[in-house]
Amino acid sequence: MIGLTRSSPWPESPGDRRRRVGAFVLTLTASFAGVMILAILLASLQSQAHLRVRLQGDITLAVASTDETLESPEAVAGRALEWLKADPSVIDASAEPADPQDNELAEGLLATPRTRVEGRLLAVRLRPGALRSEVLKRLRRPGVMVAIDDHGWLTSPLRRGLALKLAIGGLALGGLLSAFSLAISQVVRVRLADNLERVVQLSKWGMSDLRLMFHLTTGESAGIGLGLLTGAFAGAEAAGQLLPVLPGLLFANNVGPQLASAAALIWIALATCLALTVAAWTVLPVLARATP
Amino acid sequence: MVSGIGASDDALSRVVRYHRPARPGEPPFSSLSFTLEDGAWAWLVGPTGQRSDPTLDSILDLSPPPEGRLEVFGQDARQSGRSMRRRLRRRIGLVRLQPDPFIHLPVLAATALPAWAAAGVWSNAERQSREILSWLGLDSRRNALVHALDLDGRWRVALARALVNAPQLVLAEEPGRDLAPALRKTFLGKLQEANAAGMAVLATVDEASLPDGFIGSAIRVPPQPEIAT
Repeated sequence: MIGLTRSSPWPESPGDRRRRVGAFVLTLTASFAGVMILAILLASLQSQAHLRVRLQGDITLAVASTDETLESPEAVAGRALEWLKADPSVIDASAEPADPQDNELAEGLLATPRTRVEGRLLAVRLRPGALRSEVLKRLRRPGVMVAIDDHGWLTSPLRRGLALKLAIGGLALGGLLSAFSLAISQVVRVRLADNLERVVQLSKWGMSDLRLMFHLTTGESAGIGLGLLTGAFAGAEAAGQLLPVLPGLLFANNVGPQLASAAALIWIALATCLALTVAAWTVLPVLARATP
Repeated sequence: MVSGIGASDDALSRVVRYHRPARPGEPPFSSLSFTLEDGAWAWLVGPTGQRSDPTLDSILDLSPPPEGRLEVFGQDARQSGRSMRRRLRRRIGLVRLQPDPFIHLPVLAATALPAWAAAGVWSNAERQSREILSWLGLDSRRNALVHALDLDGRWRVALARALVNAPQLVLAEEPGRDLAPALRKTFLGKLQEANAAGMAVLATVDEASLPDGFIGSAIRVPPQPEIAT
């Protein structure tokens, strides 16, 4: 690796230092932004939960009085309910219980973001074949503002905005998480690569220094090597068994026996590796000490 | 500072106790036994021309000689577990030039590696290396590659690598060999400073290279049998 990837890994190259600092700044920024996005997403999800409760019936109507009249929202809602009950295409209509958040929903639905509106929501069930636009037309009378929401994810003004927020928030969160993991992986990569490089250097050129880290006897080293080698062979064997059945795992229904077989092989490989390593670290030193 | 060889019952002050019995067929005086006290300096003087003596490697690897005995810092090497051996090894520094380790690395990195291996924190290892290199007069060459240094510089790097972990025992293999007398004296002076600071030194040397007016005691190492090749 030396001479190929970097001119000299020690001391830390300026590139690595910049990468570390960049990763730190990126991580910090991403953390703040991530918290903000999470907060927005949570608020959106809360709104969605609220909407699910509020949007009852086939359609929801938002009604409010126009600025010219000083009619209360309840009175407007009462008049609108009377008109709806007289409409032959309507099965049932009812006013939602008053809720402080309804004003916000009504504003969103009536598309009056700059005007404070006190509106009420009406839940309406329609007869099959009834046209929403016809219902809406019959409600448009002097002194009454009315808007309709059909509860569809793409057609509902309320849900559409929320879905858009969720999608943008999700994308931003995904992007941030990617950036975050990239930053972390950069730091870890540099650190791991440096440490690995040092261990490689020690094992190649300074075995006596390496013993400052791991003071293994020849027998222990041989035992660990044997354990790792056997484990690697067993792992390769298990992988060889697993690969042919992978398509079956993905596409077939009855995969229990194959999966069990592959899992058993992996466990055997791991257990063998573990047992041999434990043997190397415990039994061999005892034998070595017992040997005069 | 007391330097000397001899038996001592106080295991705490005993850095190394070594016994290599004579092999079957060899005369009894071909055995080697010595004890190195804390803060002492001893030369293992081998016959001229014989440059390989297994004693330092035996102590460094904490592997007693066959049928022999080795105690390091009061611990029987044969009875020491893995973690104990690692702890003991961290109290030992090695000054060795041949084979030149890490000659392809910068001086700072080559010196920091043993400190990193002992403690695992690279920034600390670098700090320790800077201090020791500064003491050895290599501050300005710390970013130079080891192989770009002259022989004196490489010996100093070897000494820095040995001392970077502030060991209690320094094993030195023919320290300053092939250096000009004045440079060798300066180099041994640095080793002497470390010894004065409380580090015990066990150095190998051949009879002809034993420095004039050396400090410490000399232990004559019996000739090793020829190994048929």
